[in-house]
Amino acid sequence: MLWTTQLSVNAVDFVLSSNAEALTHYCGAAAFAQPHDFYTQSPYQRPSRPQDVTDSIITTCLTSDQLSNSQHLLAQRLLLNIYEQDLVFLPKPPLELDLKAFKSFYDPVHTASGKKIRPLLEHYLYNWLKEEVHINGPWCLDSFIAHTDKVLDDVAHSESKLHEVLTTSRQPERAARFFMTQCAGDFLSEASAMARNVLGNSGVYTSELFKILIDEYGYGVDKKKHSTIFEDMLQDMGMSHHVHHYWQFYTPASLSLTNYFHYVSANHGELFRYIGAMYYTEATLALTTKHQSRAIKSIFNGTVSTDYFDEHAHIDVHHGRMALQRLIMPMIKQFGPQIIPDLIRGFEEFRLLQDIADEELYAHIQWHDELDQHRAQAAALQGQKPVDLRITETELELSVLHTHPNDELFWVESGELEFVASPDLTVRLKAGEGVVIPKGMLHGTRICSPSCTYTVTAI
Amino acid sequence: MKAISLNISHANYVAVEERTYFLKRHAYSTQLLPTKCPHRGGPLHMGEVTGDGQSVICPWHDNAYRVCNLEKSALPTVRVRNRISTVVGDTERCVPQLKISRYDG
Repeated sequence: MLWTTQLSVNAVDFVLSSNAEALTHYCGAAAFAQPHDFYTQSPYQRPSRPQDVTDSIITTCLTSDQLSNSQHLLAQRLLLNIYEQDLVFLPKPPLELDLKAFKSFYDPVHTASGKKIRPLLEHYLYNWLKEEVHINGPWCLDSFIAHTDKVLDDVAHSESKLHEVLTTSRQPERAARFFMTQCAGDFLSEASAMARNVLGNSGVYTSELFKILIDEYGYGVDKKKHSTIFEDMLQDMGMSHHVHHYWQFYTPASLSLTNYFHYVSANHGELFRYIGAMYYTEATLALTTKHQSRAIKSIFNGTVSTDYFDEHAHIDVHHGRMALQRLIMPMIKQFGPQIIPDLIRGFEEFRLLQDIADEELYAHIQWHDELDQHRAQAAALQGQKPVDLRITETELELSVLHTHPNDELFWVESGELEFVASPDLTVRLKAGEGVVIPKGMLHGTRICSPSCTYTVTAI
Repeated sequence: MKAISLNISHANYVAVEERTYFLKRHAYSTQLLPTKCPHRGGPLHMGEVTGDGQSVICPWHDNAYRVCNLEKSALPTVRVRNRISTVVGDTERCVPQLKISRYDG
């Protein structure tokens, strides 16, 4: 008995250490390495500050009040990378294929380490949803439809806060580009998560899912593929259309939306959750993309193609209907009400994650608009508290964009650096200048003097 | 059927026509359970919960009822943060009330 207990303790230790080894091995990949730039020049570069990794991302789980935590962003970056090793990415001209980087990105041993830690990261990132979303009681098809119709009706009759935030920003074009940056992580690999569910044989549902997928992929016509339409839109706006060019600028909640779809698609036991989430997103995109199109037309005076949003305003009316009538209703009839809690869970979880991502986007646009006030606030606060951290770095040293769980006073004592808050917002901070960084707001730095010393103080 | 959304802090007891339900919350569940004891109609919303949290004891005859069984006669609910949604018949009136159930969630 004693021997058995001892073996079991050792086995647990072995699993824990083997998970930690897999995490360390995974984070050691070239894809995550320290970059020289804030923008990636290859789909195989995913700078992620692996030096910040702690075992907590594979041994604990986030709570809903920890979403500004820097480990949240880090875990989302790692998880997206793990999912995207299942997908094929090739550089587009003028970028050239670095065959070594390509092979390294898809290295099977490295990929296997990712697969090992994937369920742990999923638990860390999404377990909190179980505490925030409860589904109980006896549900039936009619009550499911009554509930979801009301939610969608409320969305249809509400004003678009996104339209208001973008068009009333102090710099609407910058705000719109930041919005597009957040979309890029998902839209440039359009519907890849969805593709995970069209393999196998789920009877008539395979065909129904496939119909939606072929719309997304443009029926084999590259110009019609939704990701191609989105690339055209990015180029119209003077932005890069290369996959993950803006990798460092994705907020954790934006990454969370993309990863959630992979999470409920890669784990096929969550199929009904996926169908519920897909119904919510397709049905609401038909409504929200109208406002997005209107905002872009207004901000860029009609000089930017809004085909991407217009296409979704049209086709997602069909996709929402198809999800309900061709998938959900026949599935409930065939498999019974036992699947309804998962359907509602997916619907509600994605709705909650979307709301959080929207609020995070609005907070970033406000932070960009008010950066000068945050600089003035820093000057007023400097010297009032003992500093937490003093760092000296040399020229061109770059801090990959990241977030903090608290408001922080960032202050330059000597030298000079570039402080980056968005692709369109970089300020130079010299000795005797600083900025207050609100919690959860993305930022990065690059030293532009031979040496630079700065301090960080939680406030 | 019609869907209704309530602020959870404004309703720990709901009347749907003649039927009444009380709010019962756990870390991973939020239920609107029937108040009427299946035995003699006692007020389950005034009953104790067993130590394991899995059963409610009717204050009239001390019968214990598994929550998972009571849930079969509950209202269907979705709780997201502080909102709870349920669905009732098209013509039914749903009236939320406070301070009737001993459970405040």
